[in-house]
Amino acid sequence: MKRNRTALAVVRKTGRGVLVMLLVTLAIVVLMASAPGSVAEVILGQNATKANVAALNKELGVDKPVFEQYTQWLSHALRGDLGTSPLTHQSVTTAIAERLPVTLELTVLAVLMALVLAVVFAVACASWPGSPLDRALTAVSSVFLSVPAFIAGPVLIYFLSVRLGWFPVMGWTPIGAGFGENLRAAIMPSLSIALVEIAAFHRLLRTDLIGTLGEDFIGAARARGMSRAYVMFRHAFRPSSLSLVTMVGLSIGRLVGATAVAETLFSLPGLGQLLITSIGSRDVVMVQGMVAFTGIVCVAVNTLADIGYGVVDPRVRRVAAA
Amino acid sequence: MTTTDTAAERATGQPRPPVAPGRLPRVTLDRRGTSALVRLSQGWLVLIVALAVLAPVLPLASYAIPIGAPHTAPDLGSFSTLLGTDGLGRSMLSRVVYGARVSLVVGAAACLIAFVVGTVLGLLAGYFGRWIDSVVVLVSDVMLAFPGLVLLLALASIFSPSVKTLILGMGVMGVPQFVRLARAHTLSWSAREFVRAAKGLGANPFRILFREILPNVLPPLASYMPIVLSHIVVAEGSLSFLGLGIPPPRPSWGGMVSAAKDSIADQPMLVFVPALAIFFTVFALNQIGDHLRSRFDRTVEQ
Repeated sequence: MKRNRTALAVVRKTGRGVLVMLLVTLAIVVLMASAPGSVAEVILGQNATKANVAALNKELGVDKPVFEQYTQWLSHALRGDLGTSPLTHQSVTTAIAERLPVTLELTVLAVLMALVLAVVFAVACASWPGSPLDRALTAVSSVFLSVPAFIAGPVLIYFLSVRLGWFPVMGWTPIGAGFGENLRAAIMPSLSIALVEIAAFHRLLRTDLIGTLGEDFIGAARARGMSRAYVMFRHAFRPSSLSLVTMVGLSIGRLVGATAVAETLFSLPGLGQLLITSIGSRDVVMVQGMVAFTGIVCVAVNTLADIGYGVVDPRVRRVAAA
Repeated sequence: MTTTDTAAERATGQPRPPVAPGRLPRVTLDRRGTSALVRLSQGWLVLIVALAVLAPVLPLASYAIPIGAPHTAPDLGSFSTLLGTDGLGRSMLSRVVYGARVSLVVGAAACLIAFVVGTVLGLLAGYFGRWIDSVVVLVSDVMLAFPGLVLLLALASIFSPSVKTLILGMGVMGVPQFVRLARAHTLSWSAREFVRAAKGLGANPFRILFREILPNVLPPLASYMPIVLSHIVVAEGSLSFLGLGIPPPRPSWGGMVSAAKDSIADQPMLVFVPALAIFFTVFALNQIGDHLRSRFDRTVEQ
């Protein structure tokens, strides 16, 4: 009975996620169709003849009503076809697949760095709340919160590459050409997008930990003679880390946006860089496919985080079932 | 540890002073006071807004015309050379000040749009519930699903960037945050006695919404504005950095960082000056936002 209800909640959340995905993609197609001037005019430039423009518009399918364009786009997208760039004649899906590894690595590294540092910071702060250590770390994290990637990047380049020479200023080494070199190229860009997330995770986890540490069961555990460290990690950390799951899900969207900045700054061959160059060359098909892809990934991650939260936390499970 | 401890006690580890029976506890209005950091933040914002507003009447060189040799060091001789010159010999101070105008005008206008639209939608959704609520929540979920910067990039790809499109895009980006807040606060206030009393007296729904509920919802929402403004300043900076913000020759902080980043090894100041301007502004907005929220938003635990 109970299991059925949990399953029902999972189904409901998945359905909601799919509905949001459909609306996200619909919004993108409508937005792109509402661009002033037809796509073909933009692609062909000023010297295009009327006949050429009409032919290309027909080829792109943008002469049809918007809703028809969407259903057509959707039926192709469901089969993994996001269209072909009229400028580079490359399939959008192939282009995304080629560049995804770089962006994925940056995002995963950034989340890992942010999680590790934030957990260390938050545990230290929550162990001695109000102490000079707590104040210092909280101050550091408010500084991090105010350092967007396009500020952090150049500053890191100046100090870590130019002055200290630890990391290459820019460029990418694929993971196949050696793990160490790959990591050397990836650390600075990841760190530059991770700083804001360190602060966001740290603030949330610190508040949650301090709240949990004030609960009765913590006092009971301490009274039974368990060490502070044992109580912190076995009793306080798990229930406090749950809202962090949601926060990590939400951070993916911010990170994906930030990778566009980091990849442009460090010249990394990732999705963000492709998006920026496609915007520069007015490659509407490529932009549309990539924005749709990003939106779908973000909805999927957040839906998973939402479901995961319910599965991990028995309290939410009970509330959802009630 | 008793069961009556409050969030504040847990946070500070200090027990509340005991209350003598038969007396009301003394409530201090602003327990933490205004920290030096918040005052400094307010000072910085006042300074930057004043400079931006007064820019045309200040004895400041044009941001577009060289005033001397490129890369001159800061010089106390005249107002325009206080921060030195950039790679083309233009006054850095002038460019930072005029860059502030763009960031602040775009930020303030977008923030106001987001605030007004988001609050009205959130009020309607929270009060009327049913299909209005479902639609508003669904739409704001869809908008939240887009990473803000990616949405702005998509917009930049179809509309050529101008102050108007930037304000519109960033305003739209900020709407769902206010919708969620306004809806949550409206839901909790709608259940209060005075709202039911007003309903019982036959007040029409819009009177209840705007005369009874809105005044209570406004302070926590307004205290959230500096945070949203800081997001918008960051987004505007990122767009300008990517070359998709306000087109040159108008200076913007993000554009200045971007233009100077390739010569950072030789001329780090050209990056650090606009970078610090953005950092101080975002930091000040975050500090003030946290301060206001701890005062006006009862849902924020201290």
